Amino acid sequence: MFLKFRTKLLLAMMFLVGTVTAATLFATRERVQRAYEHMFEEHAMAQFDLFKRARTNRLQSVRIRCSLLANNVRLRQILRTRINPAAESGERDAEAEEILYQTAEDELRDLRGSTELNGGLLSAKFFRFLDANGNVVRPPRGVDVGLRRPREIQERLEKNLLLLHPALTNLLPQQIGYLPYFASNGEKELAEVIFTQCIDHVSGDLLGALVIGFPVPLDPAGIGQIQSGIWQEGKIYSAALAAAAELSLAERITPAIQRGATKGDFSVQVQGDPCQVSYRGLSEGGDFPPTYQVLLGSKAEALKEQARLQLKILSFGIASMAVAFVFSILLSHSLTDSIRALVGGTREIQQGNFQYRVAVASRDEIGQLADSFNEMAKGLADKEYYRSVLDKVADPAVAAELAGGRIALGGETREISVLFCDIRGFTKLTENMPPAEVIQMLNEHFTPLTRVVDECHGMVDKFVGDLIMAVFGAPKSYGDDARNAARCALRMIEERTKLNQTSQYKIEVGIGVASGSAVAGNMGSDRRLNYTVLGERVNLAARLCSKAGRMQVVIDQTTRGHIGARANVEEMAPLELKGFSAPVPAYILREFNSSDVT
Amino acid sequence: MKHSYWLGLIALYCAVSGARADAVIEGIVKLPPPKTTAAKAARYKAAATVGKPEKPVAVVYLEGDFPAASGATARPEIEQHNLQFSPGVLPVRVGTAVSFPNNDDEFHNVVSYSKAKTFDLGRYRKDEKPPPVVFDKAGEVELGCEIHEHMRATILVLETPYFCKTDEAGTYRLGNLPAGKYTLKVWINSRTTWSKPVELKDGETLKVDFAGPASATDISQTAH
Repeated sequence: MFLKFRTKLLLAMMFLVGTVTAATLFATRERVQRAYEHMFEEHAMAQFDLFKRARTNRLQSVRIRCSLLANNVRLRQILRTRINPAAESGERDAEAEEILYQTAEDELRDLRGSTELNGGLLSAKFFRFLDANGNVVRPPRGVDVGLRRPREIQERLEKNLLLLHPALTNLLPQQIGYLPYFASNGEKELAEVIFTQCIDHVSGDLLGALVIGFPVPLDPAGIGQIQSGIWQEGKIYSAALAAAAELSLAERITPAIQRGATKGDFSVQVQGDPCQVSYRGLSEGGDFPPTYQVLLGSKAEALKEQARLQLKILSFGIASMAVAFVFSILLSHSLTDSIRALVGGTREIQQGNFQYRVAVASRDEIGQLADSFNEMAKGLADKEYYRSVLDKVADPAVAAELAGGRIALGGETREISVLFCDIRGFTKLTENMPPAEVIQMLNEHFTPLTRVVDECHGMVDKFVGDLIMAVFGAPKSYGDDARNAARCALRMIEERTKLNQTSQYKIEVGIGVASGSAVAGNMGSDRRLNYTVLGERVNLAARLCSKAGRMQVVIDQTTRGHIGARANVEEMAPLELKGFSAPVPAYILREFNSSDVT
Repeated sequence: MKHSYWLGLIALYCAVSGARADAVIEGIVKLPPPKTTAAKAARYKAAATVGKPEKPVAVVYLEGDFPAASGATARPEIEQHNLQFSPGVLPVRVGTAVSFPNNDDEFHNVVSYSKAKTFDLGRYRKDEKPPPVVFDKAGEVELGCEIHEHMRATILVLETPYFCKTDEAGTYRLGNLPAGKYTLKVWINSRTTWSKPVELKDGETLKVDFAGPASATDISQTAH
């Protein structure tokens, strides 16, 4: 039993500690993840914002210059009077093209070429004019318009610039967007393009547009663990991300954007590294192809932190589990020891050892239980003592009835046999005996005789001096009470005779037995009562006893009738007895026949 | 005022030629309705002083084989006044020199990128007199002012000596014309030129109206 309890306790403790640890681990993981995502989101927002503001700053003056250039009177006059009419008739006016671009080149000189200025950021990659139909005005040879050689690159650029057709008829006089171009090494790059309409202010007609492109400043380092790139038409342009990363990100983002998403945040595995990605729209609306800024943040650091934290929690959990283990063993030990002691105690009590006491080791509930146990044992011992005392002063059967609370004051008429046995010549015998010796002699005398009464299913009613009064058939009848009484009488003679041989006192007894109806019950008060029998038969038995000779048993007629032929009797002359008006027939009981076996 | 001067000159010329009983063509050209243009004068300080541009008129001329110009005696000019060119349309014969006086207090800069004549007079004030420009190639020359974008004018350089401007209603009269078969052309604007073949007889007045590109209108010949 104790093993099972200990195991239970152990398991309970382990379970508790384990659950708490697991819950903590889970909770921290959730928190750490969310904290990272939150932090990333904030940084991402900051970076989106930063990029836009940096672009505004960077291009602010350039936009103004583009506006001025597009509004240049000469350029517009050239467009209006030469280029557009030629385009309308499907011809090319090479001279006009030259004049147009040369005029523009002077204005743009400070925007191109110089790489010392602002770290090359303001160095434009290319510029072109578009005529009223949106076609590129072919730049002449002598003017450096950027992205001319090889011809393939120019053609691709012009093809991309055709994407801006809708921008011409749009109401926006100036737009900023992104267009791809092919660099000299064949790589596709992204250009930040300012598109400005040229409008005839007199007629309101659209004359064409000025398109000027700058290299996009792609930060190769990234800010605070976050790398950035730009997505356009299924490709990501960046300086910080690896080519494989660009591809996998594009694969994730492109379908979402095609489905109509204008921004997004998600987690992704990039080359085995878990990362957080965020993207937002970049072009100011308008007619440029949709472009998005993409930010990538590696979760590696955060995950490392999380792992460290989890390890700490785990080790704490294991330590607590070990401590819990030890504690639970100690606790269960003390508990089960106490219980074992108590169980041992109950076994002792079971076996009747009411003196057993359990050691009280503590003041807790177990100690209280031990205390109660001891109290109970003492109570039981007391009861047992009282019971034994009761048994001593009353017949065990009566004691049982009394203890069981079944005897009330009052009596009943029963058929009984009463036996009186007293010592012949007692007074004379004890004349000069000291009281102590008298009592010793009487005790020695009464002990075997009481045993005999018991063996013969009789009840010792009382001891009066040297007299024993025994009742057969009350409170309970064992059947054949008269015979039992008679046998008892003869056995008493036997016992006394045996005792006379060994004892220092030679005593001779006389016994009288009578049977019939008598009243049996509790006589006295409810505080102090005595179970006894009353009646004429009882008197008769007492008288017959006094008439009995030495070692002689005298029985009355009724008894004789009950015994019948089972015993040898000798009829006596009817006795004159005090209290009886007529002479009473009596018999001397000699012996039982061998046929009657007790 | 200048317009009537020119019309008067042409009338005189026609009248003089009339003594030789030359042919005359007259008629009405249906001018397209003028586009309402608000002068974008907000940039200039003197916004109130921008004058109204000349109402658009057409130039009617007779195209054919004519002897080359001997030497232009006329000295037409396009002035800048009240921040507008005046006249807005000037037909001249090939080889004519045109001057561009600045009658405003502001600077002006007459610029043209047209194929027929590309020139840039540079900025000049009222008292400066840049040399006149000789237009030696036939064609259309669109003028602009580099400072004031709204200032526009057109010089039509023609081979033929027989040309005149219509009035604002579109009425014209070409006189002293030699007899023969020619093409009568009407320049409406840089995009639009209508033409009609005509046959001229001495002493006849041909009435030709133009309402569209190839409309045949009343051609009534009357001897005069």
